[in-house]
Amino acid sequence: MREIITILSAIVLGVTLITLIFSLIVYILFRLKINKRENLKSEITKETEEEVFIRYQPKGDEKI
Amino acid sequence: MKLIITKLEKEVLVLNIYGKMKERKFFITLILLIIIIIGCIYLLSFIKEKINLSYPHIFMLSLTVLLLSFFILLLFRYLIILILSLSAHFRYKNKLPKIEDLKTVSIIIPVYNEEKILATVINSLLNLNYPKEKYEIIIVDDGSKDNSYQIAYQFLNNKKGVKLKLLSQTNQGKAKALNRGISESKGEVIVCIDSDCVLTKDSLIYGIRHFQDEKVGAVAGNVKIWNQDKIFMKLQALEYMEGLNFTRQALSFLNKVNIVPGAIGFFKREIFQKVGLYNENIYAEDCDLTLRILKAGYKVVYEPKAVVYTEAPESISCLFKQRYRWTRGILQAVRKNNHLLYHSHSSFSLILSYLLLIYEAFFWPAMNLIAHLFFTLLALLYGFIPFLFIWWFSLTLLDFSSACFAYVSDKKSENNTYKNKKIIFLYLPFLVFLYRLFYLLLIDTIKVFAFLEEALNLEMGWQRIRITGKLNGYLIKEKL
Repeated sequence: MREIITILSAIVLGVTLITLIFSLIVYILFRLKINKRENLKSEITKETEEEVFIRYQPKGDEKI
Repeated sequence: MKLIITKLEKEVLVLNIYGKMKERKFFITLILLIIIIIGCIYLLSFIKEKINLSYPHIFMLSLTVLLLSFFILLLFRYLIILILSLSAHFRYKNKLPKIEDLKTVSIIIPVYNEEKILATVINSLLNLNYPKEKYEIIIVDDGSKDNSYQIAYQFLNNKKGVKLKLLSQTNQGKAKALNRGISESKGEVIVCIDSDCVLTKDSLIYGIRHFQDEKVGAVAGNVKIWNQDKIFMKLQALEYMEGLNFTRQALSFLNKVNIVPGAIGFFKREIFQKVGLYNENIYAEDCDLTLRILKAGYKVVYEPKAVVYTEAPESISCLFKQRYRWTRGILQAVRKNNHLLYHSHSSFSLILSYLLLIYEAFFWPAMNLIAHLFFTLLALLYGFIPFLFIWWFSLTLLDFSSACFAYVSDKKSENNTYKNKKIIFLYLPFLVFLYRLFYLLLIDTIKVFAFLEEALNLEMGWQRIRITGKLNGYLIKEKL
């Protein structure tokens, strides 16, 4: 009986360790993916309102 | 002298009072925290002097006491849920109302890129056992980029005689799509379903019957997993049966179900006039709405025969996304509705239901994770493996007992057509073994991460789950 419990305990310990490490890896990957998406978003909206304003200023004798 | 207060002055006065109350609450919490910290330091030094233990030993001892107390709390939780669920099981009546007493219904489906299964979902709705002239279907296309709109369009002139409305808008999110559908609906009862869910034929009539009681504001349906072809999905099916529906059945006895799922929820029309529409800024808009309905004093019940089949995530990353979103959404809703605890009209059962929501979303997962980390550390550092085993074994026994009861109780929602969509009883011990060993630990870890991110207010986008289209098998089974 004691041996069975020891074997089961070892299984529980092993699976627990694997699950904990695995969850941590999945979480890190998940976070990295979100961060990547956020960076992409910020790159798209990098141009500030002021920059847009300057870009659309009439050049020379161009009429608005 | 007459004291005249204008409307503006009144508002300023209320704001001032509210601000002062908030300040006072903050200071009381701060003082309480300081008292607790001083108390702990005093207790530590007292124990160290009297028992002559080193600090690491005291730390381990206190953690063991803490975990033990949480385990006792968990035992109480299981016991209460079991007793309430048993009471609900025996109170359950099968009686259906007469056809002329049936209320008019509007079924609302928000759709975003669901071309794979939309036809099956609409077909299931056109074939419900409910008078065709008494219900309408409103599909709100939330700016789909695939052929969802075209597929829904083909059903506009269906031969079943059911009124179908198709609305379209730019992509604004699920809550806005639902709100648009509700504002365009005419039924006395509004049924909101997810676009990846199929209703069984009798689900509508069983859900609607509860509205014979004027005090019932909402009814939660029974969500089941369709794609149970792998063990990973079977574990999710077990969780739906034992973790979600079982708790809902227990809370239904108190008429205080704390989440009417987005997959299938029945609402009385007047609810939306009294408590407002879906909140568009919360990820668990269903949980927030349910809490508001409960606060307004309505009954919220669970109907096991209002069955809806949904697709479960087939990969761990998809499951991670789903549970992460659920947990953060629930925490947002809990935080937004925290006045339920102090509200003078809040009954004991309402507070119990609310506390259970917090307990399931955060406290228990955190404690389970701490226990696993602590016992693993003990095993690795000092070789005390049996502690971890005892922890796991006692929880598995609790899970097994409630899974057996949930299994028997769920029999009333059985449908002969879908017998293969049910967990086989002989598998149950094996599933429960894996459920506690691997699955729940994973889910609890996700919940803790989600809680930490919510506390730190980190960015979160809508995490979409990939649909495989396996629900189309429903068409073949039903021979529509």
